[in-house]
Amino acid sequence: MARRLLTALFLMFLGSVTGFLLINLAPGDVTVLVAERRSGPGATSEDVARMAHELGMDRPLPVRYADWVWHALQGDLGASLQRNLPITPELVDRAGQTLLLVSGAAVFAGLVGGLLGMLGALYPDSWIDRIGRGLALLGASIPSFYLAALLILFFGLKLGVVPTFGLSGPASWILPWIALGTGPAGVFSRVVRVGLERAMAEPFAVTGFSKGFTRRQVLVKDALPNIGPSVLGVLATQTGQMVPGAVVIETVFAWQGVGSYFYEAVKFRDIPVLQSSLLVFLLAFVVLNTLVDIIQARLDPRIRRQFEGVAT
Amino acid sequence: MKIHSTTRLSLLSLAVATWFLAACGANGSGGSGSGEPDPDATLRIAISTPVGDNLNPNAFDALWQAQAMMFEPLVRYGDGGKTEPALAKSWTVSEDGLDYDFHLRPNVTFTDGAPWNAEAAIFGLKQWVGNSRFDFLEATEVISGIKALDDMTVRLTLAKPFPGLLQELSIVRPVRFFSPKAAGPNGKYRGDPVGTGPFILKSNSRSKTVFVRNPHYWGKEPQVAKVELNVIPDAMGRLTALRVGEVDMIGGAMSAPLSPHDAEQLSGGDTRVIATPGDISLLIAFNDDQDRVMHDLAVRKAVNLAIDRVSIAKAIYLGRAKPIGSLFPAAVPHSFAKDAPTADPDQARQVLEDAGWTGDHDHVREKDGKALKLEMLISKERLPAAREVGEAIQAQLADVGIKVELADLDHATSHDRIPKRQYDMALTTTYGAPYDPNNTLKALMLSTVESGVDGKIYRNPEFDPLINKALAAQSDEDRKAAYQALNQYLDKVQGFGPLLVQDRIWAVGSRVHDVRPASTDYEFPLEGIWIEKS
Repeated sequence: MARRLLTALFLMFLGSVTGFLLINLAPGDVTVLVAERRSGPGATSEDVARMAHELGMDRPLPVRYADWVWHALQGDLGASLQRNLPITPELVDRAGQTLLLVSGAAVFAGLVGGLLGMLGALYPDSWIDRIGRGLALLGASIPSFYLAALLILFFGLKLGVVPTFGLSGPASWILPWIALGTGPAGVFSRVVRVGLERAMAEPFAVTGFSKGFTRRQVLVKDALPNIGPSVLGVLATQTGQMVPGAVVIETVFAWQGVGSYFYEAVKFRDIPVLQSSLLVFLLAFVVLNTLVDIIQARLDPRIRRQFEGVAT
Repeated sequence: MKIHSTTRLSLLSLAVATWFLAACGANGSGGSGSGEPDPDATLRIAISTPVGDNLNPNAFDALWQAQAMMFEPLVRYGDGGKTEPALAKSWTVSEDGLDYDFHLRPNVTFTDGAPWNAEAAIFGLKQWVGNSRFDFLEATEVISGIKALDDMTVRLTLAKPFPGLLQELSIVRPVRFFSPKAAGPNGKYRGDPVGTGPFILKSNSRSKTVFVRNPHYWGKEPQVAKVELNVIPDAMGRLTALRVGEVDMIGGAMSAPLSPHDAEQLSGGDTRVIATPGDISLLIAFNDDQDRVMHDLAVRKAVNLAIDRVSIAKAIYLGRAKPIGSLFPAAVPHSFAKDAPTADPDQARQVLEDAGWTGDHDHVREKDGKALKLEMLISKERLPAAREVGEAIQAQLADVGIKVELADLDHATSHDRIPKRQYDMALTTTYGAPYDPNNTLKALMLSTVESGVDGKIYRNPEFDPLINKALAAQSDEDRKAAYQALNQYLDKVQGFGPLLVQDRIWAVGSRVHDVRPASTDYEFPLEGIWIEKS
């Protein structure tokens, strides 16, 4: 357990350093833009140099990273370069919308993917299995922004049953959930389908059949609990990947979450905002995976033993 | 094998879905109205980025258009650069051009009830006059005295004559006025956007900003009760929202540009596209520094001869742009606008040949072992069609033996490289109304002014006296002569590549009427606009 947490911390460190370097080593100088923003068109090179000094951008990279981490640990993520407003309260404020988006999409992926996978395993090679497989492939390969556009055109423009943008009650949640959740649903359904099929060939399932239980009974009572913890892990990983996916979906549907904050920051190269939203993405990923590892270890004795084996 | 058939099936269904949805995209829903104005209507406009929290009229944070809805200037920039009265109902200029007396409009109040008078005007002027932060404005430096002649008259005294003063006083920021009652103890803006304009801010968030009509507005009262600015970052999202009727108006070069291609998609449905001639010139800045290939006049000349502006305007802008042959279009005062020259690749080849740039057909020309290669900076962030324009120019120049390499840069990088002059050509624009011609000439062409982020369209100390003369000219006659000399010089040295001026494009729902694009791209076309009762 302690080891797992240490790994998580190390991952956070590695991720934040990589993100920091990528953002800061990219060519181009954002201080010019900031100087223009704060003092009007035609900033002189002295304005720019003064701005770089004020922002601390003239210090060496390791110092800037250490300074940023030190403040971040105290909950202070700095101020946005573009708007000159503190980042922490804005991130907290925006996190709600991203949470709504990602959790809804995760539930959608879990339900739809799980159902398709189970039906496929229950009736292997039937028409329902084939359709499920086709949908999984389609869902996993269609880019989310494209799917979002199709959904908006059909449900928003053609049928006019849901709003095409913004956040205005449950009707406006549905399309973003589907757009973000379809890819993971496709992957998830395959994992469930393949996992169940493999479990159904295990000795305990064969024993079940020999006792006269139906395929459905064996699937629900024996195979499902057997693969449960591992597919849960896959769903968690998929959910972690959905958080950065929110960048696209929030932009397309004009939501104001962490993803659209990141998108705005990319356009201006708002370094502190980029670092902070990357940190949120990273945190979501690491926390989800760590949680799942811990839950899996509780539920599944095989994994627990593996952990213990590593620990000793 | 099974996988393959599944893949095929998936791809096929995807294609069918796309086709079906594309087909249904053509018919949108829209209301048929009664033809009568609805005085309680809400006008919903889509914008691409949030308005911003800091609406301070002296700061550069918020969306221009939102600031302009609440804060007003002394004088307004009318069509074609005509100065019109606003918070000053009239003005007189002394013969020596040094004293400007503004007679303030009577019976005007700020929306918090504070009166508009000489005291309020002086309070507002002192927010920015003499502040070096705003020295991109000549007015901050030349205004040497501000005083009240009586309760409703203010005199501005200048240190030297500056004929561009009225035009600078008409811009959106930082020259407009907020209520003295809305100032903090330090005499600065406190955070409440209180002005004299036709609209009052009701709410402001990251996703939506709402204004209501100012019932005590001194001018023509707005015909809509509310204006909502909805943030939709995605261009396709804005198109769809307009088609569905979730917003009433999209477009505007400075708020959420509507590309000619997207505008084309909208025609035929329930929406209307309104395009009027714009005034921001799209240009190629030439870097003719000593160590650059473009130092050779023949190369600059050949580039200008080889570019086919008419086909760029037709193919990329679908006719919603006007090719130009001068720095400014006719809509800019003293522009000496010229129509675009006809492309002449043969002559371009001849010019290069005569200058010693030789090479076979279909090959890059060379001179003294040096290849005729030019790097051209484009920025899609700044100009949505930058890549298409860049590629067209690349092809047209390749045809005469000039190789162009395109560098598509993000905002931060291009703002780094342009001022450092690491380019041969750069796609850029003038400022447009209400800033031109003065601001473009001063900031983007005068070699003594450091232009920082925007770089220079053309830079040559030899050219400076001509600009200074044009900026300082007093009489109409002098000004005309000075601008003529300036344009002739630019022609002679082939200082830049003029391309075209894009139209101002807006699209509105069928219930929106009397949309008359404002005289600058920095304001919404709200004057006189009305919405039909449904």
